[in-house]
Amino acid sequence: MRVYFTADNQAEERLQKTFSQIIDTLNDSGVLVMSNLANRNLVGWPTQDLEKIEQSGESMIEKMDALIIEGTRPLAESGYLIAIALAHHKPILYLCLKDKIINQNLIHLKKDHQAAKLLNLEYYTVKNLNEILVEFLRKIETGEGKETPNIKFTLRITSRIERYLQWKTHNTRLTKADFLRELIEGLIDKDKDYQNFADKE
Amino acid sequence: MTASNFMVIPRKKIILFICHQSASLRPQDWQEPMADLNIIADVEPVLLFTQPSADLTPQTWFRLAKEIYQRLNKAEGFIVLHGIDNILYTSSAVSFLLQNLNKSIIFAGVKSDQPDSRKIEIRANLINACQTATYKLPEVCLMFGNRLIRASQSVESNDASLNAFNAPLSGTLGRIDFSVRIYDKAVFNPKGKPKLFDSLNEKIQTITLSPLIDYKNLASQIADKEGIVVNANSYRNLPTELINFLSKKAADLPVVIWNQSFKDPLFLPKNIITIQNMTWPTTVTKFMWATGVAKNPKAVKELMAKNIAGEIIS
Repeated sequence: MRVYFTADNQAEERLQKTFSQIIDTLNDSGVLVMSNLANRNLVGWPTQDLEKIEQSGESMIEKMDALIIEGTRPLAESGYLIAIALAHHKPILYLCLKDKIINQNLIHLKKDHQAAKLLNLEYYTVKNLNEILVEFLRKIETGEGKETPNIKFTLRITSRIERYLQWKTHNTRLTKADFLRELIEGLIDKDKDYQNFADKE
Repeated sequence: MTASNFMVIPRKKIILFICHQSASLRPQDWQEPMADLNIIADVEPVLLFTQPSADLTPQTWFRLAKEIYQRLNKAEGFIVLHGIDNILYTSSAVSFLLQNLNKSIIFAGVKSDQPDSRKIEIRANLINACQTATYKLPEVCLMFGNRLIRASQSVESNDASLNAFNAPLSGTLGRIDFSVRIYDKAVFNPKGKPKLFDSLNEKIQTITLSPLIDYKNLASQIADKEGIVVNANSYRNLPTELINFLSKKAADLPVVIWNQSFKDPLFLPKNIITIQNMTWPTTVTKFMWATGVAKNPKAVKELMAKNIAGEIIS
């Protein structure tokens, strides 16, 4: 899963520590984080892929599974990022330290049915921050704004497996890829060790 | 969360001119993204033209420039929603009609033919244009896909990319990744106050060179014209008959020959202007502007050589 995280890179040290905590929590949960914070912008993107994206005319946010904004200090570009993420149906987590003030323009968005599904406004404390992040990741995977399969993965198979997949999906509505995806989703649901790992994170 | 937890941040005002309507770009296609645009700025839509952009004429270019000029002090920036057809002519014409800009005029539209992808594309292009318009870039630009390019240096792209237009490096003003990144060094910085020109000379004859040109017929066509623009882009040398024709029949008219690949020196009559460093729509619209303001062919030649709005490709 790829997430774009943005925050005020001029914020005071106390907030900078929180930003690091957010990135660490996401990384520990197996999420690839891209961010406007120093040295994080295009981490994990091969130059070749970046060139392809540039040529295709797509924006980078299209390649993300979600957007997380730490908005305790107002960000000039947060409105733009929220708008473009909504346009591409990406789930958004807007975080703000408890007792701080959130831009009222955002609350109008929550009145919009489609936007409300994707936009999550959350107050946090250092104590419950991890919990909020993990809950958001779970929501992306299972709830509203469920992630769409957009990660390309090359899998080489034997002719025996190919024959089986062909037989299994013949005369069904499923493609071979759908069948494999459903199979893996089933494995994830049944894997108690993984559930424990995910809950712990 | 309670209401007291929210603060109101004043937003910049952006005006969105609607200059195209067709079966594939209906009012709801720009009305639906308004909620998204209003997160970024206070966007006011203004319906200017309800015909497809293929039907737009020089009169509509002037009306658009005038409408923008009248609102220059009322908004931070301007977006023009326009169909792909004629967009290079309209935007180039606006570059010459509205000079010394101090704010952005961003042309946006949609390229895709697929109904589902069109919806997302128009939304994304308008959002990107809206964010860019808040930056007060003194340029007339195009925003399609992930590129912000100067309108007067743009050419249509034939590939399947969402970048509907291309521009050379000198006309590439920015790109979109996770935000709109502006290349400050490429931005044209005009001096002086914004100025609206109220005329474009429509008595211009455009000729696309081919072996089928009937020079006798052409002579009658140019009888009441005040300028000629020849598209000779597919030629390496000019036909002798054309040179003779221009020397005799067009001796008193300003004449432009547009060709981006001439290499050898051309021996042409004095009044003929050769243009290699501009696009075709820009050459035509600049010539219409120049013949409208200059009093003689020599002055037209000087204006055509001058970089008016960053249109000259370096």
